[in-house]
Amino acid sequence: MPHPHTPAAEQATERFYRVAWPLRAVVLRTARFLTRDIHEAEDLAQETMLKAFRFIDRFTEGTEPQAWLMTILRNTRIDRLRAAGRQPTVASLDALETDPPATATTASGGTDSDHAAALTADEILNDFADQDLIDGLQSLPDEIRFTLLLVNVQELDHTQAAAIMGIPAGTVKSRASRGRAMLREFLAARSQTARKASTKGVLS
Amino acid sequence: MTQNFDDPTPADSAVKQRLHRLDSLPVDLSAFDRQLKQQLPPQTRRRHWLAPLSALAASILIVLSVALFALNGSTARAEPNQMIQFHENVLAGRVPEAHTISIEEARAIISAQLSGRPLATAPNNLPPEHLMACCMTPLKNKNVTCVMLEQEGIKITLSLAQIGHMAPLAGSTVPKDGRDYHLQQVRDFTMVMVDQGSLRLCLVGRLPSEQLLKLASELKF
Repeated sequence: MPHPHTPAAEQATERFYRVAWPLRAVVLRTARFLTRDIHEAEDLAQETMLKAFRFIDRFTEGTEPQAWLMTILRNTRIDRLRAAGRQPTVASLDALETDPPATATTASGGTDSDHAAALTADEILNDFADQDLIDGLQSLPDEIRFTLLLVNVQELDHTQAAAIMGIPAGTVKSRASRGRAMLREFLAARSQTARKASTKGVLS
Repeated sequence: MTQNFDDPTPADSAVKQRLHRLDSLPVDLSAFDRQLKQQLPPQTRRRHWLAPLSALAASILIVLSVALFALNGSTARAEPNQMIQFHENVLAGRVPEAHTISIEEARAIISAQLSGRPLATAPNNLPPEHLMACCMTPLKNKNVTCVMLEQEGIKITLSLAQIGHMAPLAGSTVPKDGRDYHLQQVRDFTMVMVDQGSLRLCLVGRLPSEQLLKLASELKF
């Protein structure tokens, strides 16, 4: 990439380092949660940062740099999936957004109430490693996973997340709520598997 | 059908909390930065937070890390031996590091990595909502924010904590510019500690005490 030494180019470079560079850890971390492959995550994060550099003049001062970077990250992710002949997983989103959380069919075919209700708040907070949560996130459809990353991991507000994803704020809320219910179900299933393995170990 | 998504159950609130903890996971940026910087022009204007230190070293590499000090009980504090152990872990490369070139950047990383936690430690101009106290609740660990300085090849760990979270040094006290600096020698490591407002700063490194003391006196948070 050529780097001309004009005053405008130097100003853009300075702006990039001030606005985007300090947030590269957020970009890389989010990319790792989004993808299962660490190399793909690094490529995605790198492409995002390079686009931020290239389009730094489009960043509006006074707006939230993190939201701007997340928009670039999301679009870059979609472009990369399309280039690889894949689509972001959005299957069943319509159903997920209209079904009530307590009775919706979950990814594993059961219902939320089958497993998720079995986990207490204390268990959720204390019994799971970070990797369990990451595995759970990665088991979710892309758009739900990204919603949780914005709303619950980064704690952006619903309006910001809606702008990033190009959807109404109400949809962000319902997707986040649905995503958390699916995550509880995933954790409950994992906990149950661990319990069974532990019992098997004791019996054998 | 209308649903109230703003009235979560305790389990839902727990999932929210647990998810937000992932925002504090350290990220090793060293390889990422190397690759990225190969494709970017160098930063043109650096705002040196350690400008007064420029006389001490031609170039100072600041490395931000997060130290985890296991604490036993609510009154426990990070002890000198733990600070030394942490410093040794840094030297041995066992602590994830994020390379930075300015305090603004270090603060942004601290803010990004530790956002949303209750106040524990940090430079005092960071908003409290961006800081953290307990990162591993089940183990009752407590976080201390650390910046590492590399001066002429010698690494120095600067740890910051609220005064009550870091035990004082047992060595000698040197008054300087209206402040009391506490010095202690542990094996071949020198430790210097000083309080600034509600923060306690501790420098650890294999340097003569005068040099470390001078460095401590030039740090302002």
